[in-house]
Amino acid sequence: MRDEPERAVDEGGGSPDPALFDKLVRPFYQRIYRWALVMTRDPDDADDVTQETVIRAYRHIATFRKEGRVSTWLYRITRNVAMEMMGNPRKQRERSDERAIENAAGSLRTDGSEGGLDHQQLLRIVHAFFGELSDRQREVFDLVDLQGCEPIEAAEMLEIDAATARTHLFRARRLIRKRIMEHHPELAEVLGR
Amino acid sequence: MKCEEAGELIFEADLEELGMGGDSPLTGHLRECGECRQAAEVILGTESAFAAAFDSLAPGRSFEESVVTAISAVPGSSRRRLRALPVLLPLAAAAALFLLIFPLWNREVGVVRDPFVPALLAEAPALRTPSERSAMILDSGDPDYQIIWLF
Repeated sequence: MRDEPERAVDEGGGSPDPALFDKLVRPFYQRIYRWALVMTRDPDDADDVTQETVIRAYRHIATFRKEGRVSTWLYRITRNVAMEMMGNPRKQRERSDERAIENAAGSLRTDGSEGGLDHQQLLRIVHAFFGELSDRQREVFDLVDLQGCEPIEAAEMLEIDAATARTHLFRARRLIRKRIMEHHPELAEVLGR
Repeated sequence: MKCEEAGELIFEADLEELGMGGDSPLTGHLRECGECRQAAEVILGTESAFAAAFDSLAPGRSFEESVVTAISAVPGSSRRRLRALPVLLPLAAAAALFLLIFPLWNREVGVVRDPFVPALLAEAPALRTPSERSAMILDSGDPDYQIIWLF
């Protein structure tokens, strides 16, 4: 994974340890927020999930196993918190705004290339494209293609086997890349799409 | 490899392969075919822009403050323990003083009148300890048995 912090050493006792927490968890605030945003697709919900994740990590820092990855441990906590907060993930997905997909697609088409889009437009596009993926597909795609994790590492974080993770990844890539190519019809034609 | 076949692979390929890393049939085709290479570059560029947009995201400004407040309220937090220290210190000192004085007083009298001693024994102390030894009678919880501890 890009910028992977050190593997942690479990020096914790049985209670919260601020020094260990600062060493292990603080460097992950931004990444936890990003995971939460991919899971919830709402900045306010992502804020809440991030805060609860950090607090749980603080409470349970002594349970972190030294042979494990901090990122995996924190990702699982984030996922549990998001699932608890968001309820049924399928229901959540149904709440996605269909217009967001149209607007985002429009932005990409208008500019003709992603290079001319500003930050907010890009995020809208990502969110809109992500709205078409299942939860698993979205998480694997984000972890592997956007964050640079190895598929095996993503599988470990999601607690699924590597083959399943790859299947989700391929399906996600197909959907996302198909969407991208829709805005470049001349290239899509060459590829037989 | 035909462009249609390459198209099938491009839609599932790893980013490294799209960037023509490695030595697969697809990378071979991308090196030869400008249009397919352009399609791969569009995909790489768009996904890379998505990643950059996400990388710049961070929680709200009040996040750190909220976390510090929430963590302070966690039971067992060292900050919480530190706040309780001014109250606990005098109590701990008093307890230490009591433990220091109690055995001295005990040795002088020779017989223990301990809060653990059953009321009947405490009213009529009849236990003599060997010289230089003290004793403590402990309640076992069973009225038929008492524990005598010589120390």
